[in-house]
Amino acid sequence: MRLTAFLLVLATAASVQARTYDLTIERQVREIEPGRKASVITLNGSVPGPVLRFTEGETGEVRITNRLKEKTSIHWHGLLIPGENDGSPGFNGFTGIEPGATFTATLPLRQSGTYWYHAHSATQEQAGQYGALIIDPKAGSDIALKVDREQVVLLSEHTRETPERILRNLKGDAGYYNFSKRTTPELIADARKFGLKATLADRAAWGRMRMDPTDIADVGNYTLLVNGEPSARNPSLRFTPGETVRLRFVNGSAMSFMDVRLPGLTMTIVAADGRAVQPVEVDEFRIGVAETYDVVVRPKDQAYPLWVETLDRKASVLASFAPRAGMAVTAPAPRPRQVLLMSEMGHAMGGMKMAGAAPMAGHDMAAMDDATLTRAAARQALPATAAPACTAEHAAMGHCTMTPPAAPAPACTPEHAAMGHCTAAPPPPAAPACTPEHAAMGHCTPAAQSQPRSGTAVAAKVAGGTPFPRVDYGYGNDPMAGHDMGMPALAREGDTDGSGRVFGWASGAPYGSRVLSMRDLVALRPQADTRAPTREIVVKVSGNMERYIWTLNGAKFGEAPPIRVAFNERVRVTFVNETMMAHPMHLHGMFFQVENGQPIDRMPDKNVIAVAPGRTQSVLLTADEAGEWPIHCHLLYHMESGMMQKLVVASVDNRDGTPAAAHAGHGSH
Amino acid sequence: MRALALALLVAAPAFAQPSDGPAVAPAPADKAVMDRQVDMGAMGHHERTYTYNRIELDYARDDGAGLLNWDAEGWVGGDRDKFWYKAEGERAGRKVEQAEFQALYSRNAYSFFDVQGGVRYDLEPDRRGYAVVGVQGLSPYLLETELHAFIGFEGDVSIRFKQSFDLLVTNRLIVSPMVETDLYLNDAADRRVASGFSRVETGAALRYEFSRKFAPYVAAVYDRKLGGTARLARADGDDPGGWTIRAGVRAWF
Repeated sequence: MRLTAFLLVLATAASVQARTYDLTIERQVREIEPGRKASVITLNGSVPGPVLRFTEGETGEVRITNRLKEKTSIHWHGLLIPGENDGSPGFNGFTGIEPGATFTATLPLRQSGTYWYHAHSATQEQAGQYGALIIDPKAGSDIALKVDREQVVLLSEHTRETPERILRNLKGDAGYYNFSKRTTPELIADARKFGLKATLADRAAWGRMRMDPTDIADVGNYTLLVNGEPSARNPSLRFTPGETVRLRFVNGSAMSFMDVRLPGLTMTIVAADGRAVQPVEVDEFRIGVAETYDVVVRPKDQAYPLWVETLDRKASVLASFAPRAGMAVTAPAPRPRQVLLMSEMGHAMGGMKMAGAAPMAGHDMAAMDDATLTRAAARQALPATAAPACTAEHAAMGHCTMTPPAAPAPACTPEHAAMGHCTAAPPPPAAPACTPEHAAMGHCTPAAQSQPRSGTAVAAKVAGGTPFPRVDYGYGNDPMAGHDMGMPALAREGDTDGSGRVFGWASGAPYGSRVLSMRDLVALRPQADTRAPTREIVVKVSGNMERYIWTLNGAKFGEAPPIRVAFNERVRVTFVNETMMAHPMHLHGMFFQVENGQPIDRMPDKNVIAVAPGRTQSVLLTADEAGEWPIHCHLLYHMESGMMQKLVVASVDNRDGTPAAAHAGHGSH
Repeated sequence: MRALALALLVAAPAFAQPSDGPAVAPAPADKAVMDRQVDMGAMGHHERTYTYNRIELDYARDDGAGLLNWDAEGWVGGDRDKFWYKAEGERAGRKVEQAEFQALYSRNAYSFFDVQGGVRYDLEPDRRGYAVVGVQGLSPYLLETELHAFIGFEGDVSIRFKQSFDLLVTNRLIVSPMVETDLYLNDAADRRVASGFSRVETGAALRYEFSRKFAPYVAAVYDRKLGGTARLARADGDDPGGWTIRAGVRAWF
């Protein structure tokens, strides 16, 4: 017996022998776009860097040589590894890789899936310092997927400007890249459609807030790339007809949310951010910055266009997904641009209107003496907590009886119905949210399904409905839902304005399409930790767009003490987006479970969660990785402008934040 | 009158919306972690120093003489604290009629507004200095707004108010109405200025932004002395002013 055990150990040791890669980081001139030379940062001579492939259970090693003139770093996005190997300078004692130095990153791999790596120093990532990282499950894993072929689809941006110049331009003029602002002729077109009075009231409301409803993305002039190639290079992905193909999508861009379409094929989402989910069939999906999605398709003997466009519709890339070379594909018609609705402003709207006054109730919930708010997690208690701060003025604005984010949609009053707020189908079937508290009470129906579910983001068409559907990507709840804010509304979400733009941040997908909502994500494996959270940490995602300053809880990175969590503590982190942009919020070192209405044991693991403009999204976190972890917006220029905080997970004995030895003790997820 | 000026200045920031409030001071217990966190230079996520320079230069014909106007401003600094400079002036024919410079410390005290303080020095029409306090920022309805008080070392005190607005014909062709006025709180006889509103400059510029950073423009500007100051000018046999059509360029870098 002992001998057998010994041999087994030997065999295991052999199988976990480290796979080693060398990565050389260098600034070089490359023709990313044909005929145009650009200075980029290459990894082993290319943009993006090589696909690094490992197997779960092994300890990977990457030797990184810095041939830049400045310090650099590589962060292993989504990997559950000790903090000192996470690659975030300024955290866990890691100070970056000096010019000329070689640094060996050790990656003990306790997980499998689609991940990526990128620079975490200044704006180097945008210059080309990123690549995909794939970890195959160990033999016999229950999440191993039998496919005939795999393709990495790394989506990213190329810019002709230097990233530092982009940041300077934004600081000089936050609207520098927006050439889609509403014009006077558009005002006239709107006046024809909606009446002069309503149109002027709408323009005045936006002007009063000093905000721009066309501010969808901060940076423009991007060229989108598929695996480093723009449309002009005809990027292509091959398959043999009849094969089952796994496409590993990574959004490695700095600033671009993207809509991914593969017309003619049903895409089955099987993993999100590297974690296996129950299959969801979609026609398209939106991928936030730094997210990854694994998609399974079964192509026939024909060519399919892989069409990816940014949310602001200003950049796109067409790749050919075809069995043979030389098969032409054509891009589908581009989608209309969006105009934000005043009602999407959520918290920001309240904040603006309350100029000079006491903080509104909603803000009070997030207001704090300390950078983090500690509070009993019971959702039901929240409105009561907020109540005392509710002045008559606030009440008049509907700010006081704030719906707890996770609660079902409030009743439809006749006024709302008249405004068309009620006709649209309620958010997808998964709607009645299942909080841990409810789950504990046995109120939640299990989500186990054998058949793939269908993407549910698109509302069904109703008689007299809008030209475009309401799309609910599940990027948070609207804290103001159902409240008459007295805001001028030219039209409903999904309507078009006088010049053909669609109202609403989440728009563009047609009726009848199956689109992924965060609410559709159901963990394939049951979650190990189903404890209810003991407290809530509110993270106000905020900023000053006019000055291009971005903050968490009102503080830029370094201006506030870290968020502290005890080792193994179970907390709810609630992101309150007070801005009119979507922010992909990312936590290093751990997965969190998105409170997306699924039962607590089936909430999906993610390391990035997008929070739509004015929305509020909660996640549950089991703080089982000791160390100092960045928590930040993954929009590069937001992070660089302050939208980052440090989350310290310390064992109770080591409250000062020194990494506890504890992380060595617990097993894989 | 000076009290009025102060009251105006104090009231001005009330138009602005308060920011999210000052950063939360670290608790002593967090000091150790903060010390390590502040190694942000390692990350490159340090506070950068940015620069911004904008210049507008235009030319007009007025009573047969060439009229050259310049208006430049810029800053060096971070998100909250900046050093601002401003320079503006006018040359009629071969004579520089007006030339002034300002050096200001600027603090982003409110989301949309900076509070500024510093000095102004005029080379023309005569050499003299002023202490400057004021606010600059974006008012509701997207009005670029400046309000500054100049307390002259020679005793003259004035307030300058300036607003402009962008009206988009297209995203590149932009009409920009503006108004600027000086209010003197006392007579400045040696400068031939009487107390009260001494001058108004208003009009609209039509610019075409080839890029955000380079835009030629034409402007119709009504620049005229007012009230007692206009009377003084007429008594001196000078023209109190009127319409000019200017052509110029605006650039920033």
